[in-house]
Amino acid sequence: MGFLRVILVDMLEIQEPVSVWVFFEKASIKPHIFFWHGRKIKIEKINLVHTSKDGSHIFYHFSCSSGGNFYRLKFDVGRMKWFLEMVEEE
Amino acid sequence: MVSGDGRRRIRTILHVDFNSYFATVEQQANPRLRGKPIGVTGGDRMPASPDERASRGGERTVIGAASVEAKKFGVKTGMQIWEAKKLCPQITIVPGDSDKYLETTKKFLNILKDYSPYLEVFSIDEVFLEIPTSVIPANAGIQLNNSANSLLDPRLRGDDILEIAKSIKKRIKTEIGEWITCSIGISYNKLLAKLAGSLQKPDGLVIIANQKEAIKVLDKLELDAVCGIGPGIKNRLNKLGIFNFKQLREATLDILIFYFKSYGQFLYDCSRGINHAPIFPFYEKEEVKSIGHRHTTSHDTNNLEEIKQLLLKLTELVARRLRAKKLVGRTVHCWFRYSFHLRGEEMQLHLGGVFHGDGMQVTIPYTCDGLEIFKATWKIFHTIWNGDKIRTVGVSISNLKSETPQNLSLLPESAVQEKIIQAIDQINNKYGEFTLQRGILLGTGEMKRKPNPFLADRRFKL
Repeated sequence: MGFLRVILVDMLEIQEPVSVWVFFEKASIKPHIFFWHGRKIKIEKINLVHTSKDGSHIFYHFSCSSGGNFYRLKFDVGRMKWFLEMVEEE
Repeated sequence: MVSGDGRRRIRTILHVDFNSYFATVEQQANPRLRGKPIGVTGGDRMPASPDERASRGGERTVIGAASVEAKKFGVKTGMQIWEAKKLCPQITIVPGDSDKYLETTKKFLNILKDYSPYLEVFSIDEVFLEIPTSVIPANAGIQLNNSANSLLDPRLRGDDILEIAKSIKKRIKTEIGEWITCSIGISYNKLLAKLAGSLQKPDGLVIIANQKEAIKVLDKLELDAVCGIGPGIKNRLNKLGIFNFKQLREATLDILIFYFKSYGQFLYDCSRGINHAPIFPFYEKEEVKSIGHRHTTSHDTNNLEEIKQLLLKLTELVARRLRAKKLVGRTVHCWFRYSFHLRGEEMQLHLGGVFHGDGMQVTIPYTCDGLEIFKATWKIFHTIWNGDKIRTVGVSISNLKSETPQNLSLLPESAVQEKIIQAIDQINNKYGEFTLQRGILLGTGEMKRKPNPFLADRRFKL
């Protein structure tokens, strides 16, 4: 179950589990398409990748663009789960 | 640049400085922010109460970094949000994300270390890089390279140095992000490399090749344009009738040492473009002098229980970091800032207004126990606090030394206490900060550690 927090005028911070199609290439992981609210969203560009930790849990954060919109996906390495954590759409 | 045995050591130093770093990284992550004025704040600050927002028109935190676009409106680092919005109503406020910036810094350090191991991390967004040079006999003539009158390493042609700088810029764009830019300054010492980098922003590339050029550049600048001369020193120099570097060069070394003690040597040298500061490579361990934490509250408060919880959390964070570094400390410093509104009177504020507050320190037996640090902090707080509402409070501990194995205590309680702390640390290391915490802290908000912009206590593992 996700939660919703408005952190900017148009930016939504949510933590919703999502399904993601992923490429594994050259020792890196690249989200390609994710599914959210019945929509299939193809990632056009991954703009930045960074990691964070909570205790010993490591998370990968992918700041992505698609159709002029911004999405941030989070991969929980320990639990092998994907979340959509931020959305900013037209 | 001539060493004692008659040999000449020539240095080539690059200063790499990311432009509006935090803001640029946020714009790299989210293209919808590019080309727009944005201000990055401290991060997980709670918004101000509706009354405070109504009275001041904005949140309580400050701008940690302003984008290039925001700076054109006069928005500066350290400015209150409401001040920034007054100057630039269309500014977008973005919460800071320290994990993002640290990760990006690690990436660019990994790039730079490919060029030289002599890499000094000056701050989260500034690095010095010394390209390995040669030592040549003093009587060997300087071979001029493509940069006329260059005193840079003759084995390195001017083109080579420029190629290194351009290669660094290109790799930052391709390996980190196309929106991220940096200014690079190149010279024969750290002082001038940093000065060169500051002359062209954003995305600059400036070389100060020799002393003659350095003096030409210095003579066009204010005294405090140079790193190491701040407003205070500038003021003192002005009082001596010294307003520029030309006049500073006219002052004798004896006069400067008389007025500024050993710092006078620095002033004498820098006015002549001389600086012998070595590069401190990232892999050399630097002594940690103090560890501290501060927090700006979500609302001004004089509620003792709230302040107590806050100080318990801060002292626990300080103690955790001490234990992680296997250090103990003995001088505890506590400080705070009062609210803007004192006793119903509104302070006259100007842009960049100054907080009023107080602070004190006490020395206790060496410890890394959060509770012991808290007890000292609480005592200080009660001593100096006048009961008015506060907005920011900080705790630090200094006089640090390495933790040594404790002698067997005659008191079984001490051994049990130590075991409990170790167990709590192990659980919090695995599951996150404050997974296990004191009962009094239950129900308090999250407090995340924010990186020290100057990375005083964080070493990068590359």
